[in-house]
Amino acid sequence: MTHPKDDRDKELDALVRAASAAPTDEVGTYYKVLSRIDAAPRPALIPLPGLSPNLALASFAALMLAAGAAGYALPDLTTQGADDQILALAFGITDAAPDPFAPTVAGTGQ
Amino acid sequence: MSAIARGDRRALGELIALHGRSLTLVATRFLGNPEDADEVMQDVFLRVWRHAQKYDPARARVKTWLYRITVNICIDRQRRTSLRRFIGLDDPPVEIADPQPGAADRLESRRELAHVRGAIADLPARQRMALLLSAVAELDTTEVAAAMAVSNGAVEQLLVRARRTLRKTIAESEEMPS
Repeated sequence: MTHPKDDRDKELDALVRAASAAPTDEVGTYYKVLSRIDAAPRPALIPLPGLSPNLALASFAALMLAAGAAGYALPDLTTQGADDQILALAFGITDAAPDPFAPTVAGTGQ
Repeated sequence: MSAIARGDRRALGELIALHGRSLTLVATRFLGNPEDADEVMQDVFLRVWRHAQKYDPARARVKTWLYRITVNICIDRQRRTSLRRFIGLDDPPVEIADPQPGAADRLESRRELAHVRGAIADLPARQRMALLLSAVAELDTTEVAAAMAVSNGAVEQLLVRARRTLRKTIAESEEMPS
């Protein structure tokens, strides 16, 4: 239920309308809006046409997971030999390959 | 609106021609600054251009939807402006004189309108917006309520208070010697 405007309200509203009257520039607004529409959007970091933001985020997350898993797996391969030698030494197995970096004992007496 | 959603720039121009003036007058009088209102108008129609496909004719008329967007952007802008003034980055607005040259016999009328503008500017923001949507945009109570996202009853209250305060302020300014 809304109350209709009485004559005093109408008179006051007319005064508000008169006080608010001012020149406006709709054509100017139109061209300013068009220029903002045409302003080039910010380029994507990796330009992939047709890639939605959600898909890009999911791809990035998958890439990070793969990189993390690889980060654990690859060092394991490269240190496997050293681990075996340390284990053999701990168990007293002596036929392991000599350590080329072990200090040599000078036994010639010369 | 469907033409705008399809990327029809001419349809956007027609929409601006149809509603731009009224929206601009409301934004100018709400913000008290034509430059701010100009930027608000650009934001409004840019948002319309980008989100035209979201417009649902079953929920609101185009005019009401446009005013809803305008109200939101005006309120955001006013908050930012108030903050900038509070921390001293912006100066308070200076009311620009009517650019149209008036005859001397219209001076009294212009002075009265200047008082009305001052009284509108002094109203609390929600009362000011409700009054402008009702008087300048000529929206009915239900449309004002939709544009401001409040109930019809709240709009009635805002309008009663705004008109009462405005009458009082105008009467006081008329009693003062000019």
